[in-house]
Amino acid sequence: MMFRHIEEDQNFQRVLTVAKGEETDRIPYDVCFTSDFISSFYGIREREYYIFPEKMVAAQQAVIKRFFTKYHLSTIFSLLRPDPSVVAEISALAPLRWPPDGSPFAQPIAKTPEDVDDLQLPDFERDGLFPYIYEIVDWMIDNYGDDYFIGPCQPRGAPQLATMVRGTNEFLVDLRMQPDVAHKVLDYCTKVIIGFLKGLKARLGKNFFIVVADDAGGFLNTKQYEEFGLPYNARIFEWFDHPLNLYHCDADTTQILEFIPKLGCHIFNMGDKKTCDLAKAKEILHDKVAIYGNVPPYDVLQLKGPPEIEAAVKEVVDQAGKGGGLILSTGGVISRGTPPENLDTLFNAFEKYGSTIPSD
Amino acid sequence: LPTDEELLQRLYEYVANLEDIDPDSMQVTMKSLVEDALQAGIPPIRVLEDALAKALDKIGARYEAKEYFISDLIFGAHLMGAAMEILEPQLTGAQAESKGVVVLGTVRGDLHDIGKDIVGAMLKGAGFQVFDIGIDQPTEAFVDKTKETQADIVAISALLTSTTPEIPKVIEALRAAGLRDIVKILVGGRPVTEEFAQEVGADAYGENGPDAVTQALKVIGSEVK
Repeated sequence: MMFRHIEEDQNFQRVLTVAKGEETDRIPYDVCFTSDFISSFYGIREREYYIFPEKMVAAQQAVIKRFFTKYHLSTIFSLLRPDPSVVAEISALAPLRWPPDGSPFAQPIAKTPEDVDDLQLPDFERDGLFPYIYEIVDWMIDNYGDDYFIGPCQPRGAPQLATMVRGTNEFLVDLRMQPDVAHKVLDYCTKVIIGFLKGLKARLGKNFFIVVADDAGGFLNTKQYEEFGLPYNARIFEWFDHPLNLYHCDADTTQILEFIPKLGCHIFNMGDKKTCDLAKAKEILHDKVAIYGNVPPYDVLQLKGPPEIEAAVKEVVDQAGKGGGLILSTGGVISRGTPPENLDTLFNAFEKYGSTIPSD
Repeated sequence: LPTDEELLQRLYEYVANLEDIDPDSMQVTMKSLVEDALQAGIPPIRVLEDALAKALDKIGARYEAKEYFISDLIFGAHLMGAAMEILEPQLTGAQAESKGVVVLGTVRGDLHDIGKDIVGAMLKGAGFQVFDIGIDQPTEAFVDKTKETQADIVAISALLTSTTPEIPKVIEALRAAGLRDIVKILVGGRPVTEEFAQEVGADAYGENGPDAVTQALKVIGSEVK
């Protein structure tokens, strides 16, 4: 199986090399396939994908076979992986709501500052979806571990989980009006995330790496991110250092770029050009954190055709390709409904425009 | 003694410059600024329109210019709420009338609330009466609340490409209920575009919170489709 030996896969090795801050002969590439696209591509409802691990694996394999095998490509998102959805951590704290064909959701649990004082750490081996997720990981390792590199794990960032625990509006107002409450929630969320990840790392060992999803980090202004985002997210990355650790935020990020190199991640996946000034990202992150982006996954990849997709890839290479440090990808996740032929166009454009590293 | 314009300007400056606000004194300062204006004989409606609404416009403009971010928009709406607690009891009769009644919700199968909440807060701040029916709402919920509140605008949010097809279903349900000719429809959400809004027969598309307010004000004064 080609995925047993990702060390032989040139694209994967190039991704790893760029993430380590080293030079490559060409620009590697990847795309963010998540449950929304994968379940729809395989023809099942998103709820089925989460609930039945056999279907989760089969759906991921279908996407791997259609796109990655075709392009003889191993990437971060072509690895078979446990996908516990966005409610992995909050599931141990609040009741969940499951729409038939969408991501689950939980109502905030800490509606008042007093509720924040009462927050208790969950039992990571017994509460919420944690044991279910751990069992799936064990099952994946037993059944697929010989043939597939299992990973990555996808926790929330601390601000993201804080918006789920406290409520988005409440948390964002706390940042100004009750900063001590915001810090308490963030400290609690960081402990929950780290506790959850420790259980995963115990199972996955040296293969363990993380894709931290933190769109809420981009809701913060510069000063707020420095105080409320950076220290807590950095704690998460510090616990689980790995060259492929990735920070994802496709809300506004131009205002927080200066803090990305201090997070401890090695790859940064930003949103498209509406949310991130790629030229500025290149200036700040060059030689420090690999840029992973940022072809618009919706406005261009889903809605437009080959000329616009090619132009978008070229624009990314022109802005961020010089001297290396770039992993060509989408600026955020690929949504269901994205035409497969547009993805073919994207990969071909990645091959074409990434064939050499533009010189400084 | 300060003139009316100076008093309104002080309130405007206070609300519009979020970074200068001291959280410990916010409630007291806001109360003092609003009451100073009212005690000087400035009509409450003028305090609302010439200081607070203008400040919210300024916050929206600074968001568009990427000087402010989502947390700032939410805090601006929070300040507006604090000011309205003092001002609202003073608004009487015609002055107390809102700019319009809005039913706001996220469609069935979609559990995202952030965009909807921002739009709701900013519409309230701009003087609309907002009935937020929540997330994951069936078409009937939009129809029932529109009937119950005699809404002027139905604002429909969807954040996923998988749930945007619910938007035309809501519009069709409003049509079937005989309401389409008497309400304006405003749509928004990440996958929603101007073209999509036109295709599904909406009256307007709000790209973000401040734009939703602009569009709501625009459609409220125009003919229904």
